[in-house]
Amino acid sequence: MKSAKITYIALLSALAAVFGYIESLFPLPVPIPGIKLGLSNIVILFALVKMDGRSAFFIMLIKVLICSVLFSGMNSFLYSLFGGILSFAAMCTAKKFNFSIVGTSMAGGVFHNLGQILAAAIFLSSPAALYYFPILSVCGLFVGAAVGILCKIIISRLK
Amino acid sequence: MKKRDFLFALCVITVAISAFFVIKMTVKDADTVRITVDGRLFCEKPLSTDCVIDINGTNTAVIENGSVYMKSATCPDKLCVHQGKVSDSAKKIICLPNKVVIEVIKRTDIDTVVK
Repeated sequence: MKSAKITYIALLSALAAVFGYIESLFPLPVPIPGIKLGLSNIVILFALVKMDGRSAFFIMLIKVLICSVLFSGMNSFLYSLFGGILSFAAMCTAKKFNFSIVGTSMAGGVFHNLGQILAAAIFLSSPAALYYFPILSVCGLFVGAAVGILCKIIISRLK
Repeated sequence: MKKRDFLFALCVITVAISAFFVIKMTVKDADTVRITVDGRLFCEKPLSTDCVIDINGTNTAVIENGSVYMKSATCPDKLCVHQGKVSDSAKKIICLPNKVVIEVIKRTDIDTVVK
């Protein structure tokens, strides 16, 4: 049982990293920093729903580490980690409050962007990044909903 | 989707819209470009005078016709360059990799600090 779980975590981490890589190949042509699809959140959401919180947290951590080292550079490590941890905490809370998959994903999307804005504010030692809060939180909502719907479809197909 | 999902979405949208209006309300007629690097003041220039500013060799900002934009940057994503022209205090140009923030502010003081 234990090794089966480790294998699943490894497999899903690799999948999340691949999604992160694919995403880094196609930056969205919008003039707002920090907007992306968050495809790898499908994997983390899947793990949270189908496995447990601890496994999902490990997958998120491994994904952030791999993607920072290999693709996006250590500069973005802080942002990804902040966003990842806050998004994960939000999704766990949402799940506890009996949100649906789509709702959980929306919470994750919003708080991922909030985490990145906070990281930027700390990194720049300036509150200037907070200017992006309104647009980024709404974008996080819609992107999160899209990811949640995708994840729901995947889970229903896997049955 | 459940009812509480929509409730959450509604909350987020409400907060975002109110935050948007709070930011919009703080907009003032701006006349000065302030550039900070890593949280420290780099320079301040009047918005009315056209000029090219070299920021530590990493970024180049241009003031032109009452607005400011980032002309070039050494970072790979070039998000700050794509952010376009800024002429009011609601918008900011931020280059995260080089820690450069360009703001347009209101400065009624006679002297501007020019480094």
